[in-house]
Amino acid sequence: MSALEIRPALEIRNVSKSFFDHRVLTNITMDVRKGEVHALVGENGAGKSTLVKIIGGIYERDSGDILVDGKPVDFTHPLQAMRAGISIVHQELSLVPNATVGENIYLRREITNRLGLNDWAAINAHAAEVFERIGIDIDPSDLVGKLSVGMQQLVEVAKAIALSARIIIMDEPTSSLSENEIPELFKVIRGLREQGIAIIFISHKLSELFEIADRVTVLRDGERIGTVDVASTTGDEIIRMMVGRHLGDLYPPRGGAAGDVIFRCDGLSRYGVVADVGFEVRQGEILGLAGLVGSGRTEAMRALINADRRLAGHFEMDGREITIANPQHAMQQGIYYVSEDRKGSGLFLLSSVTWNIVASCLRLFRDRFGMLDQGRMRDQAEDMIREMDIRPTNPDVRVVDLSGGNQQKVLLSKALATRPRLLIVDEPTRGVDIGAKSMIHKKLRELADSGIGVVVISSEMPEVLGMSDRVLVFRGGRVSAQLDNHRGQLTQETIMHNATEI
Amino acid sequence: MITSENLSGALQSKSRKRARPLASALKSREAVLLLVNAVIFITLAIARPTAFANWINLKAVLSLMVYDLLLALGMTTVLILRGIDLSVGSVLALSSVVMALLMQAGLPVVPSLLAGLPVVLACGFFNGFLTAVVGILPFLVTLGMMSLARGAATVMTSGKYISFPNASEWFITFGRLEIPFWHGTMTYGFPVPLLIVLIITALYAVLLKKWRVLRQMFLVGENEEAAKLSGLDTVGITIAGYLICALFVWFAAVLLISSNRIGYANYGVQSEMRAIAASVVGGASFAGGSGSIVGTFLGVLMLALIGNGFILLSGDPNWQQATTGVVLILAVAADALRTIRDRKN
Amino acid sequence: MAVKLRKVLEHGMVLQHLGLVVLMLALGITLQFVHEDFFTSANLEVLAMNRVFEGIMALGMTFIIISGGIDLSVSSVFPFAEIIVAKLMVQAGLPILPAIVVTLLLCLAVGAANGLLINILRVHPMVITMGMMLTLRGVNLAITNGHSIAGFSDTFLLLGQGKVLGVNVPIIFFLIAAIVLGYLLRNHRYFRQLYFIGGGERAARLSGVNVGQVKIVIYMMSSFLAGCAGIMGAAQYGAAHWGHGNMSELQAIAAVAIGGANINGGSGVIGGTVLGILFLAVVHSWYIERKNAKGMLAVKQRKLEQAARAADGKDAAFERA
Repeated sequence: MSALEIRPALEIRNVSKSFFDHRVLTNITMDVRKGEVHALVGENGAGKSTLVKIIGGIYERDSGDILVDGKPVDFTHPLQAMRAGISIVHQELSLVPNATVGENIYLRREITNRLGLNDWAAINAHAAEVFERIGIDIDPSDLVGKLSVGMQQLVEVAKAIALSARIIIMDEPTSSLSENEIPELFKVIRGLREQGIAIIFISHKLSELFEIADRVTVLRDGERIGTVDVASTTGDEIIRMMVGRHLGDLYPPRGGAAGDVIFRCDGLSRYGVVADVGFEVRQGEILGLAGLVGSGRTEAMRALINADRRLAGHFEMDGREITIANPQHAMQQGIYYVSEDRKGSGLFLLSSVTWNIVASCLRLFRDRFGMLDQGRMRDQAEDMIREMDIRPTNPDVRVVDLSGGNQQKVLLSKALATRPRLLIVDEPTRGVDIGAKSMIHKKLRELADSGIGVVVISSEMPEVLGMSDRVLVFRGGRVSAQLDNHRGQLTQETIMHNATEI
Repeated sequence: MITSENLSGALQSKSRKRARPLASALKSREAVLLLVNAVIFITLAIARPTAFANWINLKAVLSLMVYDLLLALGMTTVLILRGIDLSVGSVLALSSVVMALLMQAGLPVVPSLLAGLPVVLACGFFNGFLTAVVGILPFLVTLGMMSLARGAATVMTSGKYISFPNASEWFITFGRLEIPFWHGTMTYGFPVPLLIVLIITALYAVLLKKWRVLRQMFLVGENEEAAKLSGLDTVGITIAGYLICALFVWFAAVLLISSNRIGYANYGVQSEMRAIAASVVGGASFAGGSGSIVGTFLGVLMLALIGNGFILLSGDPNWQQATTGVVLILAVAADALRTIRDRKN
Repeated sequence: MAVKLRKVLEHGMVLQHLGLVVLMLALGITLQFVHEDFFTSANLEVLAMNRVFEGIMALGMTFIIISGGIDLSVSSVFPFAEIIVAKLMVQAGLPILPAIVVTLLLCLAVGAANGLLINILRVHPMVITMGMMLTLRGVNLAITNGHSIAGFSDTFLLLGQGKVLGVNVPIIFFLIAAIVLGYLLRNHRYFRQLYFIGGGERAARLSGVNVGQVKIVIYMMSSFLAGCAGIMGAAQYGAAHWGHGNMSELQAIAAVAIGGANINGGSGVIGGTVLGILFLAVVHSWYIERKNAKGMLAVKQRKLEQAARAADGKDAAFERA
């Protein structure tokens, strides 16, 4: 590949976009070369998603030009962009679960006979061909709904290839993948790159940029701050461009020696999923749960609070034996589990921030007659909004209208409003921008320091390493190792070693 | 199109425009319904000034409305929980039959009425239990209950009317009791059952909004899993909702047999549809998490006014059902257009 | 072949279908044990005819539910078709074929109206179709003034009461419709789109599916099938009446749900619906059994009492039965 490349695959010149009177993108100029993996980064609200949707024909730009392979284009519908060779692999997969893989790939372009009946053999053959081209092994006649998330993502990529895409946009493709599925995806991306396909890669995870990207464009507040070669920049510089300020260390400093044991668990089991899990949580320390997706961490914690029927388990709080009959009972004893799926099982999206924050502790807002005091509820909400820096600050806003980071903060506020003794957070910063992420980490450390037991489940290695004082590594539903930072046991290699069979 | 990314900014610039309570109240669905009802009322008053706008007629309309209203209150409750209760009409019939049979057999009034409670509560519990604990679709569960209850009532009575001539006099006159009030020189009477039901409705509206125990139903209906993880007793709350619905059904049955003086296995046929219609028009959604007592009341009122309108306009009473359907669509359309207009803004 | 079998077994719905079959057989065997006449062709025929019209409606309902919608109006389209075809033949004197054609065209119009209203108003289909159901029911009531219409020609009656190769015509219709629709749903690209829509309308639209058009088409299909059922129903009963088909929409929906479809859309197969309606038919016959048993018990009871009184020498004529 010579530096004097032929025309770039995609050129964006002075593109601007406003929604009503709110300016979202201002004079964005950038280009994406053929056979390049070009990362697009920025905080939530920086405009990455909007820019990408304009490229993909979902939105229309207000001004500026877009050129594909040197030719100016004007998309008013995603289908036009697809025909021009631009495909988006969305963060929320848009596959049809009850149709086969082959059908999904050839959606709306199925090979049929004269009567409109699908020619399954031909569809499957073509799909198999595409899979071979990108080097993955999936059976085209499988129902998409039966595949793992990682596989589904690969099907989305195959879909783009089948559409002869020359430019593929991936919006946070690794956010729902497990650690061992990510290398698979990256292998495919590298293969695509070799075929001269341009890839725009949106990500919040800096480590990925350095692994897979060639160049990085940073957006902030709707403007392009800069484009740099990955090889000649540092994570710090990128963050500085994104945030406009030094964030110092991404992770707050860890605690000193741990105090008394707050919570102890022995022999936690759930039929077929979790076996004989035991651990302790001490004052002042953050216990991290690491492991591959599917290794049983979420299942173990859910079994702990008995959200899913548990088979066995022995628990002690502050040295006294306790039983945990259900999530309600757990909460009454000071144990709170924060779900990993904030949209699905954590928040009440259509309700206001106030209702979400007080949902777990409604009892506290009763007046003399047992009626809810809306005034006090609002006060509590406003307190939490201030404490957690939630934006916008209006407590009556519906949670669905908030950004991911702010939604996560609301979810945490709901837990904190109950003043738990043991806080278990599952993937606390998934899909959250750098600013909010850092704030959440700081908050968790504060909580631990103030004597609350904190357990953090995370699939992001840097987060586990950066936050935890001790780590439990899960594998196949069991605890395969306990690693202590103070003993220098916390390294990426050790964790991965214990998380996998190797 | 506003997205989550830029909404925070958009909101902050609009927050000042948002804080005008009167404007938003006028745009609410209840206001639209009030308007629709007013339009119907005025139209009928103009078309049939003497026949419609007099107290005797209005009293009749409101009195007949109480049964649909009570059933609709129960239905709204269940809809808030993301459920549905197709059995309300049949359970109404069943409890009316049980209570009437007991009174016919000589049991005094009060124990007979109280004996109707376990019947409805058992049905309600059955519905709630199968839905919340076993996990069967409420549609299917209450569909089955509907057949069961109707069948049981029919078998018990062989389809005959069950009268109870020996029951205490007060029970039968209770249905016709009125509180006198004066306007100018005329004396009017306000039916006591109607008064009681209106008070219950108002009370329930307040309780649903403010009482923690009931308010939780909105959360459970909106997202059951999130409610569970938030520490709410989702199973208990769901069963309670179906029990509350059953309670409303029982009360409707009591009023019905007092007023009609018979228990009958074919009471309440198709009434579940009217109850659903009124609740949905009033703001309840099949997706759960929403519902308005005021809206439901206005929905029931609307259906009652239409029915009355037909009789007065000497229209073929057969066309009444048709118009109910059309008005349902129109009322919902009006609200939909309002929502679309809101989204555009 | 072995691979195909594995694929089929991985299909979660297969377990549900197997369960249904087992349950039906269990119920059937119990009834056979008690009355020894369950598995006779006569009884099975009655059983099937009990629910065949709901079954035909359920086929159309399957398509609609997969796409995430629902159609409550079928229970009113059924008598509507009965009445229209009856009026055209009996009161207007039209020959059978034109009467049927006009009736079905009107039913298609009803379905189109449903689809259009759902598209334009963007309200939940349950509300629109409920409104349509109530409206049509009123229309049915009004144009017949509550009376039934009878007096069909013998040829017409064959449509409901006739048999082909020993099987009732409506059942044949149901089977053929089930096979055709099942095949189309599985293999025709236009109908595969229903799964796309059911999985998420917005995504389907972005993929180029003409969601509005597809919806109108399936609601028209649903009304069409309900209309066919109505025509055969009039033939079967020998009369058209506004009260026919009462509650049938609930049965149709139940059949689809029992057959394994997700009531919120995105999944479901015709085969499941067929099992579902069969199941409801078996349950219904079981229910009839119980009612008959109770009824027979009451009759027996009365006979015993009369015998006792006769034995006492009292004159039965003065005793109220």
